[in-house]
Amino acid sequence: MEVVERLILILSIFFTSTIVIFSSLGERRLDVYLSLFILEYFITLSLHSPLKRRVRLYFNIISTALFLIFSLIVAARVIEILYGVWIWRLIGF
Amino acid sequence: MGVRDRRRSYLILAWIFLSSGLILTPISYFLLRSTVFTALGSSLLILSAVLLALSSGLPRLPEEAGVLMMETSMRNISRLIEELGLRSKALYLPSRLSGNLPLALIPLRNNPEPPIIRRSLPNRLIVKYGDEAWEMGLLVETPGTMAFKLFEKPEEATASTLESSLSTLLVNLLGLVDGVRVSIEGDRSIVELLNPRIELGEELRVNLVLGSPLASTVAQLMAESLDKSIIIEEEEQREGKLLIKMRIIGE
Repeated sequence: MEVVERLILILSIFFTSTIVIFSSLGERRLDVYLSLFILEYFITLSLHSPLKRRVRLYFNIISTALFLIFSLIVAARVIEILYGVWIWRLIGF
Repeated sequence: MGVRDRRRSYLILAWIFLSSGLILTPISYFLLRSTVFTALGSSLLILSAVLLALSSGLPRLPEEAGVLMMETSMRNISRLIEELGLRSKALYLPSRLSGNLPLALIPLRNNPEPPIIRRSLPNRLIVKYGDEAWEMGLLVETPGTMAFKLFEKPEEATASTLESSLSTLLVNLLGLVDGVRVSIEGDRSIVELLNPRIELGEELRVNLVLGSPLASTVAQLMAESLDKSIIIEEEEQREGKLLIKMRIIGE
């Protein structure tokens, strides 16, 4: 199996297992799922690196976007722990 | 499946995932209030982005065309070797000894012991590598010469760093094998390539002199990394793997 196919297959298996396992455990926090997806994405990517130069450029964009989302999730959790405010609720989510 | 079909199927799948994700995520979050389906939608969005990124890196040339071109160039070198009646094994030289790029030297005279090259050879097809009149040879480019442009040469050449650099090139970038194992003991080195994907139709003289294309690539890159000359002593094709036994020459 080629690296490209392996990468997409592993990522799909990771995501599906996360949804199945955590939903069966009754997890209702969306940020937990998103954090795990992002973590799994970075693990899978690092296991298959380096990729071709052309592909790397696109992955840098995806990685930056996902890292930004992850940072926002972590920041929200830190604010919740420090001030007891769930910031997403304040902005209507 | 052709290259274009494969690319198209990646793109179709990516767009299906993207549209499903874009529909599923807001509906399940705002209307259904379902975390699980929102998570599923988000995962589809990430997968679609990954698929779009990967589709850009799919090979633009069909595999068969690549093999055809390589076979043509190998056949041409083979004709040259046959015409000149060369039988000695090629000596893979690092760029320090062969000019700008790592090249392979095929001695014109058959000698049981490979020559030791101490000074940089001129970048020409026919070169004189020693002081004696018969010490002449052909300096040729190999698949490894071109692969060197993509190769990340390890700072310190040990078995593990070489294994990592060769894996990066042969597994991740070129997709020619599924795995690489390197061992070095004294002046001998064995490289094991798992599930090699290049198979040439018939046995050519060039394979006896330069080795198979994969062995030739590995030997050339090893020579460059170790900064020493290398000769392929033996190649062994086992089930699902190719064993390349090499000898490291020089101080």
